[in-house]
Amino acid sequence: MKKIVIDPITRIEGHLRAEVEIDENNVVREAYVSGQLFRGIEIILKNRDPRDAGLLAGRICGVCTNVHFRAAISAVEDAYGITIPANSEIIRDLMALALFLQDHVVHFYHLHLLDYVDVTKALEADPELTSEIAQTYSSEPYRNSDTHYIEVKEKLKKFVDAGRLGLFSNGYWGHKAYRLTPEENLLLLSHYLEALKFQTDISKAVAIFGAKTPHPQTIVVGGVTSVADMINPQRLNMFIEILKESKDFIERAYLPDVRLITRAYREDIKAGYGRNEGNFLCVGGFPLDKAHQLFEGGVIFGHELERVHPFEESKITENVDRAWYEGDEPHYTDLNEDGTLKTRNREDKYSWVKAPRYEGKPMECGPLARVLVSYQKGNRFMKPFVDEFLEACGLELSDLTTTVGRNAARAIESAYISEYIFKLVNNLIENIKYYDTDTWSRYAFEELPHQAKGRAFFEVPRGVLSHFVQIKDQKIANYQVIAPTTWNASPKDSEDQRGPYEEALIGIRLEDPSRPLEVLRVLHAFDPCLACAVHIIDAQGKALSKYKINSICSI
Amino acid sequence: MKDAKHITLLVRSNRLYAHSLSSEAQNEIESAYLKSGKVRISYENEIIDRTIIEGHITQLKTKKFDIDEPYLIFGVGIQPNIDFARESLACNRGILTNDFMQTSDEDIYAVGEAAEVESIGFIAGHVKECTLQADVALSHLFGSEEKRFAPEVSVDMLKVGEFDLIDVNSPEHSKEKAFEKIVMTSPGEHRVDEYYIKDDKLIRFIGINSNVDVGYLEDLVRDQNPIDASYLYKNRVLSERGRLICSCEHLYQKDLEDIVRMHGVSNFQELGEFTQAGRVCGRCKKMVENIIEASQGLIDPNMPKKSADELKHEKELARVRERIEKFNRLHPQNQLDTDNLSSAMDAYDITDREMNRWVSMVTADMQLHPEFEELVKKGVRTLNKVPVIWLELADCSGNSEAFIKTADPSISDLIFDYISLDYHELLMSSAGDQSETVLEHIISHQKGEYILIVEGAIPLGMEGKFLRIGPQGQTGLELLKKCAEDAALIISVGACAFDGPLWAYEGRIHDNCERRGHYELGEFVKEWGDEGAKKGWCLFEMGCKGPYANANCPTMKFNQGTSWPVQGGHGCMGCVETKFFDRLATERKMEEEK
Repeated sequence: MKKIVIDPITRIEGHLRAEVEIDENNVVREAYVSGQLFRGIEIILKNRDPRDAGLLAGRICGVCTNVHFRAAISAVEDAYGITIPANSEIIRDLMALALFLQDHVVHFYHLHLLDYVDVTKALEADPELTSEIAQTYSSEPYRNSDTHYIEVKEKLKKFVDAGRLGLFSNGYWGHKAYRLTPEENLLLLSHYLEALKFQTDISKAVAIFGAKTPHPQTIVVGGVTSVADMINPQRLNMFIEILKESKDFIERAYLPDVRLITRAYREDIKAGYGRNEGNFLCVGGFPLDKAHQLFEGGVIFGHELERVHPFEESKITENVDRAWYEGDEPHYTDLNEDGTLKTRNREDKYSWVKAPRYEGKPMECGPLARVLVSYQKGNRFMKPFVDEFLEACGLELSDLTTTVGRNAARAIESAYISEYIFKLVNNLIENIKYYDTDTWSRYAFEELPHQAKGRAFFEVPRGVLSHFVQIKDQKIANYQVIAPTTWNASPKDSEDQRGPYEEALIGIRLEDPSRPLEVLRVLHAFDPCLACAVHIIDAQGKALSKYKINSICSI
Repeated sequence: MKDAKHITLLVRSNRLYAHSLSSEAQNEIESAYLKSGKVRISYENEIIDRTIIEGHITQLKTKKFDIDEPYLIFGVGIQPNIDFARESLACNRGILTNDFMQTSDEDIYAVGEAAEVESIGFIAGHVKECTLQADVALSHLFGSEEKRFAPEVSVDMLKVGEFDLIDVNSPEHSKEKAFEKIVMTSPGEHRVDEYYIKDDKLIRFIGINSNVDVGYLEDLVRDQNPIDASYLYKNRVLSERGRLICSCEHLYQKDLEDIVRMHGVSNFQELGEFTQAGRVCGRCKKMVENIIEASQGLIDPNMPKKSADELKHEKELARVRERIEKFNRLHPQNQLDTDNLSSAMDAYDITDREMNRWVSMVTADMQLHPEFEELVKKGVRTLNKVPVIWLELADCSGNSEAFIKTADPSISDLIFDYISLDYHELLMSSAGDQSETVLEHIISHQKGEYILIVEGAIPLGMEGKFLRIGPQGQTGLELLKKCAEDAALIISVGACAFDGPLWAYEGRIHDNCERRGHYELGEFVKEWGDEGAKKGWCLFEMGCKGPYANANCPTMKFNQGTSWPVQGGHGCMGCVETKFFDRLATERKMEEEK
């Protein structure tokens, strides 16, 4: 067995390390995934005014910024039993969903694509043929003209010839795991450039109601502050226009591109490349009307896709046997002398990410979990998006539980959101039309309970996000976060069960162990976000059920 | 001066131009001046006094006569004032220096017209010589290179009224008295060629309306090869390059014909893209036009034309190449490659105008005076060659996220055209050993040349071990120190890396706020979502920290001007100010916070 250390894992948020052990055939037999930074925003939150929790917790992450902001405020609202006006809920949802689109596109093109696209190969592409190929994946391919591809190729050629490769320096170019044709490479790279513009534009949508992004600033306990934007028709139109543009890109570039990858890597999908334990967790959310919501909640165990269990938050526990905590305190046991993780003994700790478990099992959350659960629970809005994709690619639902499948689920979800986000805008406009312009629920802070506990569960781009707050004497006494990446990047636990990332790595074969592109591919498919993932456990112990209260969170 | 009535030329010496000039040449020049009858020349004369009435010079007194009501007084020639130096430094006609431009006090250097190089009695009269002297002085000061001042052969070409004058002069021999002279005159053509010869070698040439090949004479003077008088005679009228057409641009007939032939120039208009001949003083325009017309037959209709742009590009490349060669000479360790130059320039794909616009914007952004534009431009141009390392330490990637949302210029222009972002964990293609190789390479091979951008705080507790990066598990602190040691410039971005305040922004948010009018009128939002909130009233009562923060948010806003926290109805939380997390990140007024 030979150990390979990959640190830093780039093209993710934060500081992630992977160590894999490979056998003589270069097949991964064991994997350790480790969060390498401890920040401890929760400690900063202690003794603060609960109303400020959002402003501070928002800074947990600059990528998933508005979801932490919202979750913190929602947890405080939950603690105080404050329900917010419908308009505020919609505005928060609109900001969150625009972030979904931004994150998913940035993830696919800028954080993940270079695991599939060989930049140097694109230089050999025939631009005419490229536009023909684009036609096979979409009836109306995005910016599909010979001249456009000639231009992109030219730009790329000049960039490469200039001799400074910048972000493309020392990439895995020429690696055998790259399977796309020169034309396919050029097609996808042209969208890499377009997507840079996309993510700049879509962020304006978040800023319309959020004042800015990253780190919006308009959510407050009791509602939102951007009421003047909400009642301004021009702002609403601007939001709609931006979303139309992004829908266009998602339908004509993103989704077809993922179909292309799916076809090129069909073999891998069918071989179950990147499959893990098959435990999926989704809390659902985003109401479309009184009876329907965008995502259903539910839990799937061991690839039994047909059996969706109801989600119960009392079943969440946390395990820190292999994480750098002891009881309620950070407890760093360092690395080995050579800088590798201490993993020799079963009790060795090796990550700042703790290990949340559901019914004692590691769970995967994120687009794949959402798509599987919603589909299986018969969400009639989601269903056609999934069916159409599977049919176009000749796949079955279970094929999605793979590395390429995770990307497919993310793209399906993006197309789905970009369709139904307009429904939410409509709901908002309907309210305003009938003179409901409330954006804040009045409360007198002094009269609120001085001791309280609250929590909030949300579906966010990378999966399930939960914030927990404990208030004493009107101050935050304790704060805790379990982010999507906490679930997905969790280390092993006391039962020696691997985390979802680790399990997905087992069994993959490396073409060239000195250039472990395949490991990146598997990890990137989860869209890791480490700043979010690392959080201390609460002072009271491991079980979270004590937070369980009767009022159901309004999502 | 068509309308001038009288022109008086006062000459301090007793000759025009040069003492040694033959009387034939003198006569040619003089008669050219006197031909119109308006000019009088007074030798050994100068202005000694003047009368001024109500701010006007009404009379000039010269040594020999008075001039009443002068309209225009024009002085030509330079005589530097070195009186201040005469007491302390050795002086002759100028301040005396050795060949390194040091004066008698070795810590004081003198260059230019003020300096007289003692060994050759030389005083510079041309810009070229002055620059050369400055170079010599600088290289001596910095001890970088042993350079002695040795003046080069100078060529003056003047088109004065009715005649052309060419003077090829070797400063080395400029004081030479013992020379022989061959003078060839052709009264009919008003031509005088004077060859100053010493020991069979040419030391100077002065020509009036001369047509010889100046380049050839320049070589003769410089290389000091023996002259062949009969050759000079044979070539006295037409040199290989033909007649001198444009003395301003030093362009001969043959040169012009070549340009016309090579680029298929069909008229004077088109010629302008290739040379300024005929356009500087304009005297030779007619001749130039005639040559273009006469040379049309030389153009090969099947020859591919080089466009002016291509030509300009070639010139630009040559200039940059020269610059790089110089850079490499001065920095032998850092051999910049010139091979990819052309592609590199194409890749930047920036027209000058676009570049200038961007530079102006950036300069203004940094609140720098427009004079800094040149500096910024230079910086940006070199940035392309300089690697940028972006380190993410204890961060949330918020700055990186904001960075990729930059709009003017767009992020793709930025990373493909403007900067070479070689290391940035969020965006770079390589990871692990491969990405660290990139980092190591920059740090060890490009010391003092890369720019380091730092995002995020630096964990110091537990010996920095709250953050480990890279295969060897370096702490964030170690990595930062390693990268910072030889960085040319370190920029910290965001409130985690730099705990405010921002020096560049002097404008207080409150003063530039769009809701300031409501503050003055006492119109305040009293609770979230109230009528005031819907009308966009002042947020001071809701804890807006605009009065305590200095930043450009109200004017620039965020996400391409979409909004900012006051517009979003929340108010400012002073996130650029020192310790904002502890002091300002609240929703209540300052005084309410205890």
